[in-house]
Amino acid sequence: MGGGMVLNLGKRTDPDPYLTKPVRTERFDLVSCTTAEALKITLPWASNPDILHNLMYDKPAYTRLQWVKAMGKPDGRHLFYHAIVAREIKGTIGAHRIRIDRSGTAAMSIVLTAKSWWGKGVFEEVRTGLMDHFSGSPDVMRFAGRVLSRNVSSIYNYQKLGFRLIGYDRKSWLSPVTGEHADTMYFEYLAEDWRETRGLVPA
Amino acid sequence: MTGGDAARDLLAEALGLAPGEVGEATALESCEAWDSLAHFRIVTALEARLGRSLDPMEIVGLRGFADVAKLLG
Repeated sequence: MGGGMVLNLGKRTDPDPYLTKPVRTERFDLVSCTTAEALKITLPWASNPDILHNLMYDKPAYTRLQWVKAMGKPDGRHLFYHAIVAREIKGTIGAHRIRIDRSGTAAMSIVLTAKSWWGKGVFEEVRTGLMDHFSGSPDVMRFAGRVLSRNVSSIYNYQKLGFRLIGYDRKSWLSPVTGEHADTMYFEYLAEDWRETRGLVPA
Repeated sequence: MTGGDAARDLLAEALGLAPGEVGEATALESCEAWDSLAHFRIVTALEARLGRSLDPMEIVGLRGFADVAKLLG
């Protein structure tokens, strides 16, 4: 074999060394989880009908095995679960999920299991930190969120961060609990617009 | 009671402020007391006052004093 230059780009399935870096905000450490860590943090969601409803899962409850499959496997490239660790109490108060598709759309959702932290600006701080970080990757083109039209708090949070409402689908989700259809809304924020608004430069 | 007066009272209660602290400049982006829980309280209070559910576009359009006053006008 000749001595030509060999490019080592790494396998596209390897964790992304930039995206998997921990993110630190004013009050929280956002730690990218392994599968086992994500399972430990999110397993209580599997039996919480309110959380499953707001995240629009297909079942009203999941067994552990079902949840492993439904949760997905965080790979550090396409699917991320970040533990939200509050430094003040040295404890995990929730988790944030990001799924990046092949077009670069980062679909996001967040669950705060510690109710004592509700209404304290956690969503805004956590998402700002993660969007600052993820918008620095060339693999992320846009951020997106889908919420139930009656999820008033989530709608508020998207609006507060400056997300644009791009769609409203009537009766687009069938609740496995009530058997009724619900309306959903789509919000988006382009990564380049976020960087510009925040005065960031790509990593 | 005008829509503006009703909006002032409703927002003051939902935001935990004195009525005198609420005015036309009170808005989601700039009012510190207008957090996600307060937003939920505003929607709930409006629905109770109007006797109907707000439609999704009305909820998305709730960004400040004028939006609340318009619904109550």
